[in-house]
Amino acid sequence: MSHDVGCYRVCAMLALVFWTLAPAHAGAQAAALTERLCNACHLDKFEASGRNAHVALFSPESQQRTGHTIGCTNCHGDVSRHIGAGGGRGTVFAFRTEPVAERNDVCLGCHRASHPTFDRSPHARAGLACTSCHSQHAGGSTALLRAPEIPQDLAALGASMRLCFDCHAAPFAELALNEHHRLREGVLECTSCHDPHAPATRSLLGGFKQQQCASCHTDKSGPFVFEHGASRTEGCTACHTPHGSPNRHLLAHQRVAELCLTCHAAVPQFHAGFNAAAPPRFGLDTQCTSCHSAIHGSNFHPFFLR
Amino acid sequence: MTRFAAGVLLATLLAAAPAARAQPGATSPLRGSASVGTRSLEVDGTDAKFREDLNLDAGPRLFDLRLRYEPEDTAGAAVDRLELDAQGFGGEPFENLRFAVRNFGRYRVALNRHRSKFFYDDTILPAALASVSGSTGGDFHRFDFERTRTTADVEIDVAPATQLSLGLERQTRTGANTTTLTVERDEFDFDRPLDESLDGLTFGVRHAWRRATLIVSEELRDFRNTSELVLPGASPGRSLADAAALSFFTRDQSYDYASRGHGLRVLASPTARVDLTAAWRREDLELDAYASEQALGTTFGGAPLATAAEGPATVDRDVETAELDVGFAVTERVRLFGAARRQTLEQRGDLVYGADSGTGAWSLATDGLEAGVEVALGSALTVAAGWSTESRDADYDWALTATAAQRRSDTDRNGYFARLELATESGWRLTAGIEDNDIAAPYTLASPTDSRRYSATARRRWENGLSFNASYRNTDVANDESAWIADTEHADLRLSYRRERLQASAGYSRIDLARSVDQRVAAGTRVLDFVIDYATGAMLRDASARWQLSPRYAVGGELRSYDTHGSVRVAHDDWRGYGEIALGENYALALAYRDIDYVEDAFDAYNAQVLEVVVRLDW
Repeated sequence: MSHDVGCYRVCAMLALVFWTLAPAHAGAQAAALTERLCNACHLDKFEASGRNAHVALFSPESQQRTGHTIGCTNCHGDVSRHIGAGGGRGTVFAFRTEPVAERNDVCLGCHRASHPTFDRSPHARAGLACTSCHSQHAGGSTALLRAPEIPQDLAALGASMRLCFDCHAAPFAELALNEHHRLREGVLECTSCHDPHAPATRSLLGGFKQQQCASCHTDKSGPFVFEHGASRTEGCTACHTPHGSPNRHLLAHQRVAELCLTCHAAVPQFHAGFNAAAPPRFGLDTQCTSCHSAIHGSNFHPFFLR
Repeated sequence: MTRFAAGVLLATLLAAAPAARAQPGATSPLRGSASVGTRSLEVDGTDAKFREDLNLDAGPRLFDLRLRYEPEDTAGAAVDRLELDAQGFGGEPFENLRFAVRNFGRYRVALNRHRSKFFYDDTILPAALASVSGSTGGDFHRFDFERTRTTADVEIDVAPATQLSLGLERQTRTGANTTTLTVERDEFDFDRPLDESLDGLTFGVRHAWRRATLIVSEELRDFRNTSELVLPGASPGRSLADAAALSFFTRDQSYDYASRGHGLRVLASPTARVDLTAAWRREDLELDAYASEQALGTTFGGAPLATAAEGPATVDRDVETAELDVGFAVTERVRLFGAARRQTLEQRGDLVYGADSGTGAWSLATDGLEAGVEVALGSALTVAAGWSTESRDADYDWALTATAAQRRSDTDRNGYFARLELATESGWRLTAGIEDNDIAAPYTLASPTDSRRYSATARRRWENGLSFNASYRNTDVANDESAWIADTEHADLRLSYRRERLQASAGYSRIDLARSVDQRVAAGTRVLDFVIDYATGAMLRDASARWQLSPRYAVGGELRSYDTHGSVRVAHDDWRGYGEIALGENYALALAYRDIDYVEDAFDAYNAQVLEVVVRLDW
């Protein structure tokens, strides 16, 4: 152990000498020098990074065209004390130990324009850091996503989905039900509907909740001359369970009439029949949509008969 | 089986090809893999249900293709990274193609295409229990359609602080569809082919100053839906006991619409402690429809039936949203936040149809306020809590010739939320949350007046590769005006183990739903009582493992199983086992067997056995 520490100290001293003697001119050259210095001890980070976006921006040519000076110090701060001490946490901004807010500030220092509302997202409010999902040293993904702990049968899915399932076990289970949105099949991803960086929308009364569904299910979303009030005010989830359901069409109830009669406590008399002694014409097994065929809305009938 | 044999031959030829042809290496600018192979399939039982669930087909295909190009030296290179992914080509029900190329700091271009096939042919009641007069035969829709979505996105960094973005999108849904409608108190089967397309265009500009960023976006969408209903030949209807019959029936309700969206967002940090976001968005939509319907036949009572009607309809809709979010860092560990939102929707539709004319108009206005605090109590404990309120005014008026109705609903919601997260020194990460809302005068009888949700999670990852995840969520929802309740309880447990040669995971989930109301339905002078009591208990189990026996051999397996007890019991067991052998430096041959058992009491059951032979080439 002492031998290892001794090597580190020698490297660190040499690095400090180079660091001190290096001319403090163009940021691009300084960044490139920093890269070489850090490389001496943290080679694993560079190897893991591959040629990801951060590494690509290390080159002086990249810095010229982007206007950014990218190097280890952009995220890890002034490294001179770290080098002087021969390494060790506490001498440099280390993402494992710094408070979440400070970690996020470092990332958002460059990425705030593309993730403007992350501070108010449910993820931020839950105390998650950018580095909870992303790794600045990840090599294989454009979004620098972390490698998730995943069940093996999801290995074929997109990296973003596997990462979501790491924490969000409930929708993962619901997607195993027979009727489900096609995430397991690779057609959709969690981010097809959810924006992990978006602010929390606690609006339960928005009346616009079907907009996300409408981006694909355009024919169901209208507008229509006559609209189903529940759909317009409560959104698609008034009747459907989007992640998965044992019921057809992702409905909240297996039998359609059960679902309809939950709200419709008053119907015209001909539904029941005019002979009080005769059994009613409808019951919990009635397929209401055999007549009310345009149940999401109609341009030609207020009761959705056509 | 001939296709399978051809696939096996293809796989064998590929496997026998000289392994030295490709020269992989960690530093090679071109990396990737391709998995091609063939599938054999045997299905016993309800083929329609199998197609609805899995829709797999037999024969050779491209299972997966991944290509990455990253030049050694990016200085002066036009491309920093190029990615190509393709899955499911050659007959899979889900086909994905993704192409992306980017130069960091200059541009990003991404093309995506997804094609998916959907099939549905099902009933809700067994045929023996079906009654035409009560419309209890079931859900006689039959779908066999294809959905495609193609997108192209371009982002260009025209200057270090300025980015332009352009997005193109095209979606289509085409295929066969049948439906059953009640005409003259009898049920008839109609063809209703699907032909929809959506074209979208988005354009945006983003510019960042030192303390503020401005984002401007424009969106155009055009949707076209050819909605036709045709009786395929004369029909006496499903019931032969009445006189109702149709010799000709056609209904065309095709429509199209165009929408234009305009968005503006400003992000600002006027001081180091204050950040705010102001956003505004407006969408205008105009829809044009024209309907025609013609029917010839016999009425329920035996009289001649001859109807014809046609006419246009239009809908105009304006949606506007304005939001303001503010955050203020009181100290390094305490942050206050607040938000205000207003959303409005104004919509009016008009129609003339035969001798009828009508209108439908919606007016919705929702205002919301939210305030809260986030506190970091040390580096281990984070607490966020807040309060929110909303009020919504909804007006719906409609009229059709001599009939008219209106509905006013003013709904208010007040609620609070709290969440804490604890990260212990021993590695546990624990969260707990609660959200509670009281809602006055909801719009429907199945909308909550009280809603409370609890959630808790626990996670731990050990250095030895073992990880533990558990979560619990309980949602209690009730409407105290109708006595409707909808409670959900959801618990998940997962253990995973990941080492270099062995990866394994096992999970168990339980979902319990209870939705009930004793509904008294007024049908004119008759009053009917319905006991709606729907409860589902779903148990889901999954397990998977992969063991690299040696550098050359690997085996693995997966199991997914669930059992639900709702109105109908459904049991589904799906397991797969596979073995892989490395053939030379770049090739691997995999053999996989999968067995799926599906049982839906009194309706459908099938067993599917799937055998796949796959050759994987890495370079």
